[in-house]
Amino acid sequence: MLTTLDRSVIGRRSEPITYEIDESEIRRFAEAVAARDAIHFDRDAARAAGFSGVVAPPTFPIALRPRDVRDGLGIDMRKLLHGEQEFRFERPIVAGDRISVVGEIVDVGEKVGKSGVMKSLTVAVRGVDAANRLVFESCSTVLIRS
Amino acid sequence: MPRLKLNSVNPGDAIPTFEAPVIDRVRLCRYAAASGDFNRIHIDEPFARDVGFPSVIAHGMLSMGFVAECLEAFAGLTAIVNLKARFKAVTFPGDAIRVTGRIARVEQRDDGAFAHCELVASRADGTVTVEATAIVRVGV
Repeated sequence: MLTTLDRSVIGRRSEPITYEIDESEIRRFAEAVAARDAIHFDRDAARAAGFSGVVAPPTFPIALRPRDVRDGLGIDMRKLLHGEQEFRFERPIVAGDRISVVGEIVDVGEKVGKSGVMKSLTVAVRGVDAANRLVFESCSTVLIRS
Repeated sequence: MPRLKLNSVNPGDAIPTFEAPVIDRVRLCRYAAASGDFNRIHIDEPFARDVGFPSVIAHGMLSMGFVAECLEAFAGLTAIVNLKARFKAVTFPGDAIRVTGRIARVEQRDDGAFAHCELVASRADGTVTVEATAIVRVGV
């Protein structure tokens, strides 16, 4: 169903999706962001540092994508810009974690930028572990050029 | 235990600079695969030009990843409570991103002590690409 991007979509929430986090995934992400600490690559180093497995870098939760709450909003991906991103961490993510994420549209607004008025869309994400304890919260604002 | 100690952090203290490897298209492909962000603007040259850029552009989140690395090297991973970035300018293949930062203030609360940090990612020509703030726990 196609709807327009306005404040009526605030509160729209995705069904949860669960990710089993494996070591190689963490390693590949760590390589991509030029991580240096061995705790992101080496199981023994991570264990020596007190973790149960290799540890994800701070921005790894971005890879745990909720089901897209923007579906059907007719957003042109060519006009999308990432404006802001925030993470609040309860604990690091380690290999073997099972993380469920839910996304929710928390704001729709307008911003005046260099290229005129842009719509903004803010999505909050919560990630919980297998015991349903909060692992991270994130908040992402994208701008849509007109 | 937090790596930083309350008696050794002060407002204005510099965070050691992080020099990221020069961004190339292979890194953008690796980041796309690792993060699941396959927006063509980062990996498809004709698409990026069609949208109006001279070439593909790097994921803003890649630079935020570099900011996080800078912070982690300074404070330790488990000390990071909050990290927030504002994306100010785009980054292209060939850009060498440098992350610098400082401690803005130190706060003592009932639940511990925290350093509020300000970090900036910039291109070699000085253009600021990311402005970030972070809160890290410090040992008392």
